[in-house]
Amino acid sequence: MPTVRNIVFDCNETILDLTTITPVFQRLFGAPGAMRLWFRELITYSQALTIADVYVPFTDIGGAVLEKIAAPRGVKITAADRQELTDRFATMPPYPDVPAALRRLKAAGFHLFTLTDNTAAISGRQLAHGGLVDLFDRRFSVDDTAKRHKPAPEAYAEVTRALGASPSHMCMVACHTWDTIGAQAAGWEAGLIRRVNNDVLDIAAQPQYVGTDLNAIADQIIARHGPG
Amino acid sequence: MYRPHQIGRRPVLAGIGAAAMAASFKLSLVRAQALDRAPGVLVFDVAESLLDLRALRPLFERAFGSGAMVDEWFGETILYSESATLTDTFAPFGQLGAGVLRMLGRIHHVSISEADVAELGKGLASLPAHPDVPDSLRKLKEAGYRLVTLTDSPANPGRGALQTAGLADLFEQQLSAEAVRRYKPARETYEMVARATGTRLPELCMIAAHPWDLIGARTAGCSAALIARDGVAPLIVPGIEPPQIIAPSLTDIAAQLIQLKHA
Repeated sequence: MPTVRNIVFDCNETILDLTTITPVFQRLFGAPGAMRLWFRELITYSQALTIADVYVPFTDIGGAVLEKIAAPRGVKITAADRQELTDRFATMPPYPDVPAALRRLKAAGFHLFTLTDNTAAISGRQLAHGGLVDLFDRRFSVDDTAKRHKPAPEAYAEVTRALGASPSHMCMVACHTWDTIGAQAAGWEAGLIRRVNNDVLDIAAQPQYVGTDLNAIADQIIARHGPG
Repeated sequence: MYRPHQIGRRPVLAGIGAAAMAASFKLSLVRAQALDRAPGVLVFDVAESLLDLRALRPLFERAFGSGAMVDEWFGETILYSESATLTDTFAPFGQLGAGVLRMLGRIHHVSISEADVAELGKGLASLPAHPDVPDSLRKLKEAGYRLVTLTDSPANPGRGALQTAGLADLFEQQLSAEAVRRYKPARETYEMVARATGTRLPELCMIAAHPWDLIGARTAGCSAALIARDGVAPLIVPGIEPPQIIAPSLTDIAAQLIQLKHA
């Protein structure tokens, strides 16, 4: 059986609590649900632009999507609003299950990495703020590597290549099925955390590990690939 | 439960044309690139662009307790169709839509039966036209335009929703992205339309209510018109040329296109 040595984590919503940006949307749109609409459109357009072979940094897509959903609803977005969203996005705290589960995986001998659509600058702020930055051997941003957003195969392949690994050494952990689909298409294993508002898609490739939090995923990975 | 209908929707677009849009979106760019001649073939998206998805609300009201969940279902289905295209893991659109419906059932702790999936398929095949659509299409046809459709969903000439809505005869061809096993906005889908109509990409004008579709059309070299229906606005980002026509209804878009025929 091939052995996974490298575990690569998605950041937004997977290890960092996306719901903490909701107050910005509550204030601007008078509805917390606008946050979900914004995030879904952010992913929809990061994929559409990638399919069209046009690279736009994630933060810029996020700002453009905010304008796109605000204008027809008669909501005015100021520079201060955009800054507040960026700041809140850059300081989302880790979910409570994350720090201990990451330490357990590290103690079991796995190398831990991140792979994010965010720019390295935003991602660095996020992980430093969350006190997690030292747990990762290396952080990857598509902004520095493939210039294509996940789940483009190049986003994952660049990580495999940078680590001099083979795809069978790699496992992606994310709470978004579109991300596990991408990792599995690149030959990696994948684990899906069923965070609120996320679940498996039964017609797509199924992740090897599925759980309601990172502890459940860590248990399964350690059982299959851990020492002993 | 997430209820998208709580999001404030003010109908600011109704009755206001490009002037109001230009104020919000710096559309001076768009005006500078306005169409200067009539496109050879008008290519229509169908679901939401010509046909009204809100007819599916009762199904989602019954299953999820929220009719507005239809927007979340459609949005997630498009998102996962893009993921399938990016990862070269094509699945037919009907399967994607059914899978996403079951995924939303798991997320919202609602059980989705085979009967629900069947009802969704039936509902999609009998969507009504938006009120501005039939007249606009007839006028475009009378003005001498060639009309075709390009959908992610299967083309069902003779028995699909366009047939039910009495519009099918206006189109010389109904084309589906499934033929190239990649979904819009992949370039291959627009290239297929050019091949099927015996024309070239710059001769095509894609008309849709979805900015992501028009991003693909514009980067492939087609022109584009955005039907800015309630809640719809273009995505303005560097590297993407916006649609040449942006108007709140197909009536306005048709008027502009017919004017070009007479120019």
